[in-house]
Amino acid sequence: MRTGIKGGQLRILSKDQVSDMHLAVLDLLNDHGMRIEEENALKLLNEVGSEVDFKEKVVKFPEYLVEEAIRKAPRSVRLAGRVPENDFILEDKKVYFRVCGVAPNIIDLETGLRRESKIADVANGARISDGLPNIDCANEISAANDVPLSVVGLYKQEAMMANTTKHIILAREHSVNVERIRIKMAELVAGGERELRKRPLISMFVEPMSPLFLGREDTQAIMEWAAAGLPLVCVSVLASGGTSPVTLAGTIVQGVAESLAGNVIMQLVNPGTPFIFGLIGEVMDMRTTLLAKGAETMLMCAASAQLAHYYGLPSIGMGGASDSNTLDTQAIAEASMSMTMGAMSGINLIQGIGYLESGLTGSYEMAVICNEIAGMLRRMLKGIHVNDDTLAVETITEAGHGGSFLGLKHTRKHFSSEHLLPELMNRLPIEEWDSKGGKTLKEKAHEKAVSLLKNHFVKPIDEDVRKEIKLTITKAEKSART
Amino acid sequence: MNQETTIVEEIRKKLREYETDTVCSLVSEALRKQTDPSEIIEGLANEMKEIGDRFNKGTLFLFDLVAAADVMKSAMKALLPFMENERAPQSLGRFLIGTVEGDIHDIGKNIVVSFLTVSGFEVIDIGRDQAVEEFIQKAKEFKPDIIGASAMLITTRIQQKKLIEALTKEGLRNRMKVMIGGAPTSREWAEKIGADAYARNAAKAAQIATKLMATKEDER
Repeated sequence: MRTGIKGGQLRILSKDQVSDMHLAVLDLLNDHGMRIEEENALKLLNEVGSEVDFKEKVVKFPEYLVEEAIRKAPRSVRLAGRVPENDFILEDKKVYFRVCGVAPNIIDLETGLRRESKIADVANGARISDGLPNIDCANEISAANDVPLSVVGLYKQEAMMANTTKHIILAREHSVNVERIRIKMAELVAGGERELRKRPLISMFVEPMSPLFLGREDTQAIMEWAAAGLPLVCVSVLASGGTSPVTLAGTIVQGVAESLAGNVIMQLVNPGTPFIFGLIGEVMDMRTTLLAKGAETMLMCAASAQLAHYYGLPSIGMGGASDSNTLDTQAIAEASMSMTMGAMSGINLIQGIGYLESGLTGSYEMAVICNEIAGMLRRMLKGIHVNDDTLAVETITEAGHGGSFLGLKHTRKHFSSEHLLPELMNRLPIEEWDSKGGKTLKEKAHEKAVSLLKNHFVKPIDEDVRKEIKLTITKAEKSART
Repeated sequence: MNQETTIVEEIRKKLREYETDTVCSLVSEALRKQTDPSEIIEGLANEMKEIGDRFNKGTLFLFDLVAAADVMKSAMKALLPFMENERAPQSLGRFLIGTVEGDIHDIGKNIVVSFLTVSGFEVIDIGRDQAVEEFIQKAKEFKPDIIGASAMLITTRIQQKKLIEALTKEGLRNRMKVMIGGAPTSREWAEKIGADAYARNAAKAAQIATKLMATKEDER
């Protein structure tokens, strides 16, 4: 079992502000509603009392329906690994970290140059994040451009499952409906339907399109995964000023509405479906049109954490990503600021780790550095333990005026729980650092990534199961072709 | 004459203030007063150019540009019936644009539309989630100088390739330039599928489209 450290020390919204936002969300969903392009979902929502315009496909959600769905969603969600040691539970204000996501490009580990990413990069991303101790949820870092599009989601899932024993959150691939097959593949690994439901190795990330639009395939994925009782993230990426209001409060309200609307569908399909709440609030840079992850994204992440706590829902937010085009000082400044903000606000799962170029490029080295930052954050969240023993008046007395603490038992006893020993951050004196090559953090991160790829052992999936997965993909590929 | 200059000036001023309704009513008023439509269009186009320049200098922002383009669109609608041929005389070229099938993401494409409008293109926007057949049919109907296809997803960009294949098959490929854009696309992808150009963002799209028009003129 992986342990999450409690965050939430930082509160940027007052109780009244949280409540004002929630009321605005209810108003928006009730009066303006959401466009949902899925006939069965519309019928389902209509049956329980939503006002549905079947022609425009717009659903207006009554207040009680939204709030009832929040109550039906579990307050804690287990995200299981392929081995139980890697299970973790999203709940309360516990903080975890996830490498992400679906960048179409990758910084090549050998050449250091940006290129289109391939299925091998997905596998490598999973393997590297599997070997990073502070990363709880291993994922692809990039997309795959060299496998048949109709079944790209299956290939990626296979590559990830083979290369990590940590939990995997799958991105909804916008190709043919492969959700059933993806669930089947996970069942093969888990050892059956019931086993998978009990310890879900995979979950699904669905992104509504802002403003207030749930596409047909997204809705179908929600319904399919909810029916299987597997965890679902329903989180939109909002571009403040472009696809959501220029005001941060308005963007938050819209994002919350989009997330909660997804939850209403889930809970109608299958009450108790594990739902992960959140929003990724970005800003549209008004000079370049770029979707930037700046200070505003960090503020909105913190605000969404507070809303999650208010609702009692597990949450996900953006951190560890950058708008920089290369792994430079900007990248690390933005990654550390956003991860810190997320952790201190108590968002449950910080995701986006390893993203450069606003999410268009993935970087293994960046993921390695963020693992280091995550370690520091875990230490920060543990806080300062205050009791008679840690206040140490007796020990200070024992050391005497001008004395030393090095030889005291108190030091040996508390050292490992009080001090963090970073792996890559420099602590060497300059002469020694020089003699070891004078390496920068980036260089050390590169070496670490290379070494993980070469040496990190991942428990393989049983041969029989692997074969069956291969067969499943081949079958799906064939039927997609015909 | 003096009064006419004033009303065109007034139209330009209101365009600068993004007052769609006022611009449209002033345009109607000017037409009633027998102002030459081409003079009004020239005034609007010049103002748009200035707005574009100020955006490039960083004193105006994306939302200014989009607002200006929206006003321009409405003003042109009011003017179109008074123009002798259907093609706007001051137009830099005709640009047909859409988001490919399977892709409902269209904010990027919409911003490109604004930039193209500001740059002086006559833009025909066929919307989002559009099948290749729709692109082809509209291309036959409107005979654009440039056709632009946007894709936001790695799984939908293949439609851009299909579009180019269909244009070739229909014998239209040589008659128009093809531009592509969207998050999962790149210059390499453009080269791979045989597009004429790739644009990374909306501002670049307008610049590249302008350049493409120049090469198109040269080819003639």
